[in-house]
Amino acid sequence: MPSDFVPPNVIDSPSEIVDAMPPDLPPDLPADPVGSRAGNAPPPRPSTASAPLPAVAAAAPAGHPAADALGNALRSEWTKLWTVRSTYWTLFAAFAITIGLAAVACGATANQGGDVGGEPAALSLSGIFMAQIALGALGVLVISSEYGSGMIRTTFAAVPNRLVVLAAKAVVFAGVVVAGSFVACFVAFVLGQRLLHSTGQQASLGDPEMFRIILGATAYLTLIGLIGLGLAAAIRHTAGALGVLFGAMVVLQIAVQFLPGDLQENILPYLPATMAVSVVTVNPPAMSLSAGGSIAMLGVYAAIVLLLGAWSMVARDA
Amino acid sequence: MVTVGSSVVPTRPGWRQMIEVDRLTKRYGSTVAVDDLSFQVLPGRVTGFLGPNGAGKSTTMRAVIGLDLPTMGEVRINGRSYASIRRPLCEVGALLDARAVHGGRSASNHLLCIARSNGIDPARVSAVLEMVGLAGVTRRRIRTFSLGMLQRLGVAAALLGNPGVLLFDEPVNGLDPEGIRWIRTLMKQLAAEGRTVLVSSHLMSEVALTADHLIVIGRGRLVADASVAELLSTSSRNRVRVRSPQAGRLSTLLTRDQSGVNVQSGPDGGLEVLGMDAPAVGELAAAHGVVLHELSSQQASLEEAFMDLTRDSVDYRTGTDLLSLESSTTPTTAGSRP
Repeated sequence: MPSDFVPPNVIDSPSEIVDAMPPDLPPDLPADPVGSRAGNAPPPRPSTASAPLPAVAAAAPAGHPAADALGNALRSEWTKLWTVRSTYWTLFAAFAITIGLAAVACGATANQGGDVGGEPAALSLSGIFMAQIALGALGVLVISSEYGSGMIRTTFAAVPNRLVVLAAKAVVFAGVVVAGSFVACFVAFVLGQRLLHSTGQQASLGDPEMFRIILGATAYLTLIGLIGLGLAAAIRHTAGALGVLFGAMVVLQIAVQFLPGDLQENILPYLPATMAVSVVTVNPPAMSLSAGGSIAMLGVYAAIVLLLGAWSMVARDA
Repeated sequence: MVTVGSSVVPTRPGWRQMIEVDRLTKRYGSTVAVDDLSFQVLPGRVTGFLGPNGAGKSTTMRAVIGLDLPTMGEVRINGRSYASIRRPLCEVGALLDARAVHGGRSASNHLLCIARSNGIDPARVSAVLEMVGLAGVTRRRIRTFSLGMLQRLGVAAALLGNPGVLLFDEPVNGLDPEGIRWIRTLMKQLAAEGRTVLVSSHLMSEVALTADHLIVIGRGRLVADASVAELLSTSSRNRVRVRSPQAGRLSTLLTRDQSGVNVQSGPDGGLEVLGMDAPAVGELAAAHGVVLHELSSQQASLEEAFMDLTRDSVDYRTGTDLLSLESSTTPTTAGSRP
């Protein structure tokens, strides 16, 4: 047993439970004679087993039951997200890669004589191809870490409506990733273009479609993360969900190269890696959907995977 | 269904809540884990939930808090399904698997996540951690906890919402003797406050020290639903121990007239009489002038009563009846049970 473990005293009185409760009771319950006492006087023990005892009062104001449940679930998922280290690591990795690669790619281009070769905005955002791996992994972990540890049973016991659990996780995760990846992409763009300044080929935030590109990259990264989250809900295993996600992002792209040309043309536009290119360019490559079409298609993928995940969560025992 | 004052907030005085398991059946594929099981758990007492390994205890408890969907039947908490309870942790607290926690969180953050999910005041977190004796390790990551500490953390989580119904699945696993004593006291106190306490175990001897009432299941079916004393009195292992210098004559007398009486030689030359109570044996001996040196009732131990009950429903059994090796004559008295 660890040295700082303090052996407990046998509880003197379970009324300590009552004592520690906040005083704002639901209005239809009788006021608690223990909880309402002022000062530091020790609470009296309940003299009989049938003494009226209050329910624990909520910290949040009571509203519509369903809205209440979702609000509480959102608060809980927010706390969960920021109390494990994997969140910090994966977000840090995504930031470092997105901004770092912009610096490396644009800095090296400027140093070596300065032909961008493609579009300057795309060059400064090339980090999203690797950042998506970190954010996809975070999306997976948000759910699979709970299935892997068994924590999901505690979660479902606390919030029996499993769709509320999934919705709260998806909303909190998406909110954090939207904000985080927007900042990362914005910084990467600005930094990259500044480094390209010496080449004279740099883009400017005021140029047409530049803001669309930053927002598109943000949406792309968020949707990849949500696909990871949905996959984890459906598959329940970290390794399995990561495998499927990276398979879809990387392996498919390679596998398609071995198909006959016309088949390639039909499949390539629908692969995430092609979509990423389409999103960060002003003039998308030949075999790709438009930027808007790519995001819409990726949104459809995310919706399908999340629905599968929702079905798996609701229909299968925890 | 919108306002707080209506049905969504419990209006009962105190915690007079009840668990009703109603014709619960749970199948996993072709395996029947729980088979048409019905019982009630009443407030104000500790109810022991007993059964051999694989009897369906954990499945039943998971069904109570909605983790497993019943194949048939249902479970109600005070007339409602668990899923319809607005803030379930404020009505039902469960410790089903102490290891089912994310090891990367600190103890207090773990409880904070749970508290937020039910709108429970965060101040409760440190209160329950202190109650279970983990006040000194609130910031340590759970991964570093021993099983005993995890059990305490699980108890803290169960008490977080100050619920009227408490479920504990094998809570003493991994606890040291001090911890075992602590959790027994805690369960009794919780019941004494009027809460409904259901605690499972596969060890009769463990539950016997805390439970007032017992629900015994085997192979997913109800075997017994009785008080500890009732269960003991019905055991077929209740017997009379008698010692006499005229053992042979007494043995003949005992078996001559009465059918259903069985006399065996005890290990130290005494006789073990089954099917007859001590006064009857004494009177018979007196009527025939047989001298007795000892006459005593031997109450079956709870362990024996349990083995009797679940004899036909044990999934995994050793080749020999281990019990017979140790059952010889350990006097137990039901009256001394708490």
